Amino acid sequence: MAHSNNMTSDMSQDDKIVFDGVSIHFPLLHGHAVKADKNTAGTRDGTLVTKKNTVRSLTALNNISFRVKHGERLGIMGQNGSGKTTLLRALCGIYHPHKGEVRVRGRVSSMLDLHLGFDNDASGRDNIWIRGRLLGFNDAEIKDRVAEILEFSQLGTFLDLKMKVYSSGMRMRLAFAIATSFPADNLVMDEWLSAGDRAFRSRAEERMVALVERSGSLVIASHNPGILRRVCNRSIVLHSGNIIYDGPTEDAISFYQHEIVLGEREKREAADVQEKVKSHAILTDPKALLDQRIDDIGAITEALMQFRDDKGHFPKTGETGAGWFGIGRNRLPAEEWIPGLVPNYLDEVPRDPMVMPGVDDPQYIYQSNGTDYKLLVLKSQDVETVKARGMESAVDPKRAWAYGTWTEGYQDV
Amino acid sequence: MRTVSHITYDNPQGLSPMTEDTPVVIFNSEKATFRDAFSDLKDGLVRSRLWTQFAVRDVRGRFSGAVLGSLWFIIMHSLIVLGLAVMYSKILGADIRVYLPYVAVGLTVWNIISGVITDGSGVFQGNAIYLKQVKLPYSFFLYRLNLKHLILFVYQSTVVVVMYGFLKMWPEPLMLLAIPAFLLVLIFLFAASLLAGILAARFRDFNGLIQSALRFAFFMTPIFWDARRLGDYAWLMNYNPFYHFLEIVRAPLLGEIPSTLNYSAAIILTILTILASILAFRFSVKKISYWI
Repeated sequence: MAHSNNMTSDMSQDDKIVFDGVSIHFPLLHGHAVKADKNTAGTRDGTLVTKKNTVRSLTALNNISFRVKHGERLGIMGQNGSGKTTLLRALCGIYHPHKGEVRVRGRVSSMLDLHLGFDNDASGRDNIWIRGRLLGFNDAEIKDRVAEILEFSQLGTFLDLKMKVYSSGMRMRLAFAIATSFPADNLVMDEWLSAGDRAFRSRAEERMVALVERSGSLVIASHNPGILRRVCNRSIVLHSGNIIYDGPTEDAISFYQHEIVLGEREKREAADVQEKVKSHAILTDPKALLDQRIDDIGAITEALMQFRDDKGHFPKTGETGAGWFGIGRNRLPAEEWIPGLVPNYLDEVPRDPMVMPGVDDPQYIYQSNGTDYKLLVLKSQDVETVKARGMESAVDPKRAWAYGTWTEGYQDV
Repeated sequence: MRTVSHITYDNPQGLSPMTEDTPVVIFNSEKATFRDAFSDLKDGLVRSRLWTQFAVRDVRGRFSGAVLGSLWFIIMHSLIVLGLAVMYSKILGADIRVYLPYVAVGLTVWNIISGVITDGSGVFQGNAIYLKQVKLPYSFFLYRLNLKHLILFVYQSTVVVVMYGFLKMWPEPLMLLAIPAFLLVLIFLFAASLLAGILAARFRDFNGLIQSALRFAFFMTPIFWDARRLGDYAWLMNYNPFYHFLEIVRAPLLGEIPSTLNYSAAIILTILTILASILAFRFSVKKISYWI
């Protein structure tokens, strides 16, 4: 993790690509937005961005910073969904970052899909023109390249036949030849070399290395450690939108193997949670905790009833020195139970427990001074679930109040 | 260090060695400006060779492999025109010599209007593969789409030309009025397709909304019936935006002069659509790739 966040905002002459604190969130549009509930609340930390009580976006890149210098060949590793493709797209300018800045010196060969734009009804030669134009080159430049492409792709007379008749290997060769023949200061590739036979692959790799030495930089995302090992002199490992390793490719590969493939990272993360749980003495015995909570419910309910018997009504704001109590049930999703959202929440809950359905079995009791809010008790009928999940949620700083999981015994009437 | 903050790719730097002056492109979270929107439109225009090629491919691809090929566009159109003209001249009791040119011109112009706007509402979703894999200007796909429909228009216009010859209606100077009017329609359509594309990319319901609105408009617009037949209610047509665009092109070709109202309405509508589309494009030029 060789990164500091205090990158200077300019680029040195040597820098070809600079990612400076780049974050990207994907909005969940078109009815894909989901209610923040107990399922989404359990999703990996930092991956979901929640606004109000709806999950609005997914974080694809989280404050990514790195630099690529002239002549550097950078590999990007990571599981599916770790943000590799998003990073490449941000580099090409397809996704504009929501935070931070991407700076690129010179031209990017912004072609993530090698076969895009190929017309099967046109000849290979015509397709060179289409692809060249897609890459933004003018006619003279394309004309200059045709001979070179023909030579590298070894298509011979096939170049003048319609692409329909090409084998997939031929297509691959042509596509690769085109993509690497047009000069680019920065070459970006997404799993380009997954196809093709071995002989072609080694030729292609040689060509890429030579190309980068000539022209600038290379950024390649791949699952294949072999390709990265042979082509890249530096690699980064992405994990759920964060860079977790940046260094020489060989080290990055072994880091990746160890941390991600063998699951060491996951084990450690799980161990962290266990550790935190142990430090909360009372939490180590869920049964005792639950018993205490249920006792509390009983006690507070009793106190409320006593108050009513004495005064003829339930306590109102300001009536007791310590604030007032209320009881409720699980009518709102858990995400709304965080203190910041309490005003809404209090409006929803009838203050008088007698008019509430389920008063015989209140699910939670809260204390409030009118503005601040504290959940005193949360009752669960499911001891096993508390054992399984309650412990973890108890140490979640965002949900410190959640001593157990809530039950779903009631429907709103 | 020279910095270009807007997005431009039309100037290949690759052939010259990197110098201190090689521009640095910056992508950041700053709000898009009108400059971003206009440079996208400009960058798209620069790639005219490619979108021409793509538009021709789109048209040819429709009937690729068919013996008659693109002739089918003409056959299809002439069948519909003849069918409508013969049927409705009987139903409406109109003289077919008057009614045929009316329907032929009206339908041909309507086809490009509805075609461009309908396709426009799907343009960004339809080209999502490109937009997510290549840095291309968004406007590229609008030029392509508009040109495709212009080519189809040219095919369909042959029906009108042949029919004029058949009916021995010879060109008059008045018909030239249709040319600037048609250019205005094209400008309007470009802006409208951009606006429709953006709206439908962000709010998927616009796709259905626009398509059903156009289907509805087909019957509500005097294409195969004459607005004058509405009698006392003819003024209703003044509130139909398509009527004005249709009328400024069609009337000169039928030997009439469109009203001032037709012209001013068409011009104002075009200006409003351009403004709306530019505003929408400025707002969305950095966001469309996230929406599709």
